[in-house]
Amino acid sequence: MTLASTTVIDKVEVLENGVVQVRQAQVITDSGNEIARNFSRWVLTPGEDVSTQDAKVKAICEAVWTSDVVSAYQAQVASQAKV
Amino acid sequence: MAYGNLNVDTITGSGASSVIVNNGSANVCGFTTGNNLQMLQNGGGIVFSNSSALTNSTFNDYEIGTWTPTGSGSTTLTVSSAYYTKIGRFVYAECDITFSSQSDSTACQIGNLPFTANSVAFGGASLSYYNGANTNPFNSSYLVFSGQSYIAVKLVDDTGGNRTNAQMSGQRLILSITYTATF
Repeated sequence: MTLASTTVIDKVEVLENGVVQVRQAQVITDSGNEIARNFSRWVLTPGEDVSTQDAKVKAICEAVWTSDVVSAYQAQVASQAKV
Repeated sequence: MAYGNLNVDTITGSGASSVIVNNGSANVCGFTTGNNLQMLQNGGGIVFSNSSALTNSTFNDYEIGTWTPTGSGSTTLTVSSAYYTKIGRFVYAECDITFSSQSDSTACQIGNLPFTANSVAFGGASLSYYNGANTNPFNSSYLVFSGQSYIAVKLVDDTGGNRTNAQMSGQRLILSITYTATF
Protein backbone atom coordinates (compact mmCIF):
# COMPACT_ATOMS: atom_id res chain seq x y z
CA MET A 1 0.00 0.00 0.00
CA THR A 2 1.62 3.20 -1.23
CA LEU A 3 -0.47 6.33 -0.95
CA ALA A 4 0.35 9.34 -3.07
CA SER A 5 -1.29 12.69 -3.73
CA THR A 6 -0.94 14.80 -6.85
CA THR A 7 -2.62 18.03 -7.90
CA VAL A 8 -3.64 18.64 -11.49
CA ILE A 9 -5.74 21.12 -13.45
CA ASP A 10 -8.18 18.62 -14.88
CA LYS A 11 -10.79 20.86 -16.50
CA VAL A 12 -10.76 24.29 -18.12
CA GLU A 13 -14.01 25.67 -19.50
CA VAL A 14 -14.30 28.80 -21.65
CA LEU A 15 -17.71 30.48 -21.57
CA GLU A 16 -19.32 32.55 -24.31
CA ASN A 17 -18.34 35.87 -22.72
CA GLY A 18 -14.70 34.81 -22.29
CA VAL A 19 -14.92 33.84 -18.63
CA VAL A 20 -12.67 30.86 -17.88
CA GLN A 21 -13.70 28.28 -15.28
CA VAL A 22 -10.88 26.20 -13.82
CA ARG A 23 -11.13 22.96 -11.91
CA GLN A 24 -8.20 21.58 -9.93
CA ALA A 25 -8.20 17.98 -8.78
CA GLN A 26 -6.30 16.45 -5.92
CA VAL A 27 -5.85 12.83 -6.93
CA ILE A 28 -5.15 10.24 -4.24
CA THR A 29 -3.68 6.97 -5.44
CA ASP A 30 -2.92 3.67 -3.75
CA SER A 31 -0.09 1.80 -5.48
CA GLY A 32 -0.87 3.72 -8.64
CA ASN A 33 -4.63 3.12 -8.56
CA GLU A 34 -6.84 6.16 -8.05
CA ILE A 35 -8.93 5.87 -4.89
CA ALA A 36 -10.16 9.44 -4.45
CA ARG A 37 -10.39 12.73 -6.35
CA ASN A 38 -11.24 16.04 -4.65
CA PHE A 39 -12.12 19.14 -6.63
CA SER A 40 -11.49 22.85 -6.09
CA ARG A 41 -12.75 25.53 -8.48
CA TRP A 42 -12.25 29.15 -9.39
CA VAL A 43 -13.28 31.55 -12.15
CA LEU A 44 -11.09 33.93 -14.15
CA THR A 45 -12.66 36.95 -15.82
CA PRO A 46 -11.40 38.62 -19.02
CA GLY A 47 -8.55 41.03 -18.29
CA GLU A 48 -7.74 39.55 -14.90
CA ASP A 49 -4.12 39.02 -13.88
CA VAL A 50 -3.29 35.38 -14.61
CA SER A 51 0.46 35.55 -14.00
CA THR A 52 0.22 33.14 -11.05
CA GLN A 53 -1.98 30.61 -12.84
CA ASP A 54 -0.93 27.22 -14.17
CA ALA A 55 0.88 27.58 -17.52
CA LYS A 56 -1.89 25.75 -19.37
CA VAL A 57 -4.57 28.00 -17.90
CA LYS A 58 -2.51 31.11 -18.55
CA ALA A 59 -2.03 30.16 -22.20
CA ILE A 60 -5.75 29.60 -22.70
CA CYS A 61 -6.66 32.92 -21.08
CA GLU A 62 -4.14 34.82 -23.17
CA ALA A 63 -5.46 33.20 -26.34
CA VAL A 64 -9.11 33.87 -25.56
CA TRP A 65 -8.87 37.33 -24.02
CA THR A 66 -8.50 39.53 -27.07
CA SER A 67 -9.02 43.24 -26.56
CA ASP A 68 -12.53 42.90 -28.02
CA VAL A 69 -13.43 40.14 -25.54
CA VAL A 70 -12.11 42.15 -22.59
CA SER A 71 -13.96 45.30 -23.71
CA ALA A 72 -17.23 43.42 -24.18
CA TYR A 73 -16.92 41.83 -20.76
CA GLN A 74 -16.17 45.15 -19.06
CA ALA A 75 -19.21 46.68 -20.78
CA GLN A 76 -21.35 43.81 -19.50
CA VAL A 77 -20.13 44.34 -15.94
CA ALA A 78 -20.67 48.10 -16.17
CA SER A 79 -24.24 47.65 -17.35
CA GLN A 80 -25.03 45.31 -14.47
CA ALA A 81 -23.52 47.60 -11.87
CA LYS A 82 -26.62 49.76 -12.23
CA VAL A 83 -28.89 47.03 -10.87
CA MET B 1 -29.09 0.31 -38.95
CA ALA B 2 -25.57 0.33 -37.52
CA TYR B 3 -24.93 -1.56 -34.31
CA GLY B 4 -22.46 -0.76 -31.54
CA ASN B 5 -20.76 -3.04 -29.07
CA LEU B 6 -21.20 -4.05 -25.46
CA ASN B 7 -17.74 -4.82 -24.13
CA VAL B 8 -16.93 -6.63 -20.91
CA ASP B 9 -13.41 -5.65 -20.04
CA THR B 10 -10.85 -4.99 -17.32
CA ILE B 11 -9.69 -1.45 -16.72
CA THR B 12 -5.95 -1.35 -17.20
CA GLY B 13 -4.06 -1.19 -13.94
CA SER B 14 -7.05 -1.14 -11.63
CA GLY B 15 -7.93 -4.81 -11.62
CA ALA B 16 -11.59 -3.79 -11.73
CA SER B 17 -13.97 -5.30 -14.24
CA SER B 18 -16.01 -2.99 -16.41
CA VAL B 19 -18.91 -3.16 -18.82
CA ILE B 20 -18.60 -0.60 -21.58
CA VAL B 21 -21.13 0.44 -24.21
CA ASN B 22 -19.46 1.42 -27.46
CA ASN B 23 -21.52 3.06 -30.20
CA GLY B 24 -19.28 1.77 -32.96
CA SER B 25 -16.80 4.64 -32.84
CA ALA B 26 -16.36 5.53 -29.17
CA ASN B 27 -17.07 4.34 -25.63
CA VAL B 28 -20.16 6.23 -24.50
CA CYS B 29 -21.01 4.85 -21.07
CA GLY B 30 -20.41 1.91 -18.80
CA PHE B 31 -20.08 0.49 -15.35
CA THR B 32 -16.51 1.38 -14.47
CA THR B 33 -14.27 1.77 -11.42
CA GLY B 34 -16.11 1.29 -8.16
CA ASN B 35 -19.12 -0.15 -10.03
CA ASN B 36 -20.25 3.36 -10.97
CA LEU B 37 -22.40 4.05 -14.00
CA GLN B 38 -20.26 6.56 -15.84
CA MET B 39 -20.91 8.75 -18.90
CA LEU B 40 -17.68 8.61 -20.88
CA GLN B 41 -18.30 11.44 -23.35
CA ASN B 42 -18.20 15.12 -22.42
CA GLY B 43 -21.76 16.42 -22.09
CA GLY B 44 -23.29 12.97 -21.95
CA GLY B 45 -26.10 12.58 -19.43
CA ILE B 46 -29.42 11.08 -18.57
CA VAL B 47 -32.32 12.30 -20.69
CA PHE B 48 -35.77 12.60 -19.17
CA SER B 49 -38.13 12.65 -22.12
CA ASN B 50 -40.37 15.36 -20.74
CA SER B 51 -39.39 18.21 -23.02
CA SER B 52 -38.96 18.73 -26.73
CA ALA B 53 -35.80 20.69 -25.95
CA LEU B 54 -33.06 18.18 -25.16
CA THR B 55 -31.06 20.64 -23.09
CA ASN B 56 -34.07 21.22 -20.84
CA SER B 57 -34.35 17.59 -19.84
CA THR B 58 -30.79 16.26 -19.75
CA PHE B 59 -29.16 15.66 -16.39
CA ASN B 60 -25.48 15.81 -17.18
CA ASP B 61 -23.55 16.99 -14.16
CA TYR B 62 -22.98 16.39 -10.48
CA GLU B 63 -19.94 17.68 -8.66
CA ILE B 64 -18.86 18.66 -5.17
CA GLY B 65 -15.75 20.56 -4.16
CA THR B 66 -14.25 23.60 -2.50
CA TRP B 67 -13.85 27.22 -3.57
CA THR B 68 -11.96 30.27 -2.32
CA PRO B 69 -14.03 33.41 -1.68
CA THR B 70 -12.21 36.69 -2.31
CA GLY B 71 -12.91 40.27 -1.27
CA SER B 72 -13.07 43.39 -3.44
CA GLY B 73 -10.87 46.47 -3.30
CA SER B 74 -8.31 46.22 -0.51
CA THR B 75 -10.44 43.82 1.52
CA THR B 76 -9.17 40.35 2.25
CA LEU B 77 -11.24 37.51 3.58
CA THR B 78 -10.36 34.91 6.15
CA VAL B 79 -12.04 31.75 4.92
CA SER B 80 -12.99 29.13 7.50
CA SER B 81 -14.84 26.95 5.00
CA ALA B 82 -16.21 27.16 1.48
CA TYR B 83 -17.88 24.23 -0.28
CA TYR B 84 -20.08 23.78 -3.31
CA THR B 85 -22.42 21.20 -4.77
CA LYS B 86 -23.52 21.36 -8.40
CA ILE B 87 -26.53 19.32 -9.50
CA GLY B 88 -27.25 19.77 -13.17
CA ARG B 89 -26.85 23.51 -13.55
CA PHE B 90 -28.10 24.27 -10.03
CA VAL B 91 -25.30 25.44 -7.73
CA TYR B 92 -25.47 25.44 -3.97
CA ALA B 93 -22.45 26.93 -2.22
CA GLU B 94 -21.69 27.93 1.33
CA CYS B 95 -18.96 29.91 2.96
CA ASP B 96 -17.84 30.96 6.42
CA ILE B 97 -15.83 34.16 5.99
CA THR B 98 -14.54 37.10 8.00
CA PHE B 99 -13.85 40.48 6.39
CA SER B 100 -10.56 42.16 7.17
CA SER B 101 -10.64 45.32 9.26
CA GLN B 102 -10.33 48.31 6.94
CA SER B 103 -11.91 51.61 5.89
CA ASP B 104 -12.14 50.83 2.19
CA SER B 105 -15.08 52.58 0.48
CA THR B 106 -15.13 50.16 -2.46
CA ALA B 107 -18.41 48.36 -3.15
CA CYS B 108 -18.44 45.16 -1.14
CA GLN B 109 -18.31 41.99 -3.21
CA ILE B 110 -17.61 38.35 -2.45
CA GLY B 111 -15.89 36.98 -5.51
CA ASN B 112 -14.52 33.85 -7.07
CA LEU B 113 -17.68 31.76 -6.97
CA PRO B 114 -16.99 28.22 -8.22
CA PHE B 115 -19.10 28.67 -11.37
CA THR B 116 -20.24 31.66 -13.41
CA ALA B 117 -23.94 32.39 -13.04
CA ASN B 118 -26.00 31.98 -16.19
CA SER B 119 -26.68 35.13 -18.17
CA VAL B 120 -30.46 35.26 -17.83
CA ALA B 121 -31.16 34.86 -14.12
CA PHE B 122 -30.04 36.33 -10.82
CA GLY B 123 -29.14 34.24 -7.81
CA GLY B 124 -28.77 35.11 -4.19
CA ALA B 125 -27.48 34.21 -0.79
CA SER B 126 -29.10 34.02 2.59
CA LEU B 127 -27.34 34.97 5.78
CA SER B 128 -27.22 31.97 8.09
CA TYR B 129 -25.11 33.61 10.77
CA TYR B 130 -23.21 36.79 11.45
CA ASN B 131 -21.03 38.02 14.25
CA GLY B 132 -19.72 41.54 14.34
CA ALA B 133 -19.89 45.01 15.78
CA ASN B 134 -22.90 46.18 13.78
CA THR B 135 -26.01 44.92 11.99
CA ASN B 136 -24.86 45.80 8.47
CA PRO B 137 -24.66 42.15 7.35
CA PHE B 138 -28.22 41.57 8.53
CA ASN B 139 -29.47 44.71 6.78
CA SER B 140 -28.05 43.70 3.42
CA SER B 141 -29.12 41.67 0.44
CA TYR B 142 -26.73 39.34 -1.33
CA LEU B 143 -27.11 39.28 -5.08
CA VAL B 144 -25.41 36.91 -7.53
CA PHE B 145 -25.28 38.85 -10.77
CA SER B 146 -26.33 37.08 -13.95
CA GLY B 147 -23.33 36.19 -16.07
CA GLN B 148 -20.88 36.95 -13.26
CA SER B 149 -19.05 35.03 -10.57
CA TYR B 150 -19.42 37.25 -7.53
CA ILE B 151 -21.94 38.22 -4.88
CA ALA B 152 -22.77 41.94 -4.63
CA VAL B 153 -23.64 43.08 -1.12
CA LYS B 154 -26.49 45.57 -1.41
CA LEU B 155 -28.19 48.01 0.87
CA VAL B 156 -31.74 47.21 1.88
CA ASP B 157 -33.26 50.63 1.36
CA ASP B 158 -34.92 52.74 -1.30
CA THR B 159 -31.65 53.14 -3.22
CA GLY B 160 -30.58 49.53 -3.59
CA GLY B 161 -27.04 50.85 -3.61
CA ASN B 162 -23.85 49.07 -2.74
CA ARG B 163 -22.72 48.40 0.76
CA THR B 164 -19.06 49.35 1.20
CA ASN B 165 -16.25 47.19 2.46
CA ALA B 166 -15.80 49.59 5.37
CA GLN B 167 -19.34 48.84 6.51
CA MET B 168 -18.52 45.11 6.58
CA SER B 169 -15.15 45.58 8.27
CA GLY B 170 -14.34 42.78 10.70
CA GLN B 171 -17.69 41.04 10.25
CA ARG B 172 -18.00 37.27 10.18
CA LEU B 173 -20.66 35.80 7.89
CA ILE B 174 -21.93 32.33 7.07
CA LEU B 175 -23.77 32.41 3.74
CA SER B 176 -25.90 29.86 1.91
CA ILE B 177 -25.70 30.67 -1.79
CA THR B 178 -27.92 29.41 -4.60
CA TYR B 179 -27.86 30.19 -8.32
CA THR B 180 -27.86 28.52 -11.70
CA ALA B 181 -24.73 28.10 -13.76
CA THR B 182 -24.40 28.37 -17.52
CA PHE B 183 -24.60 24.61 -18.11
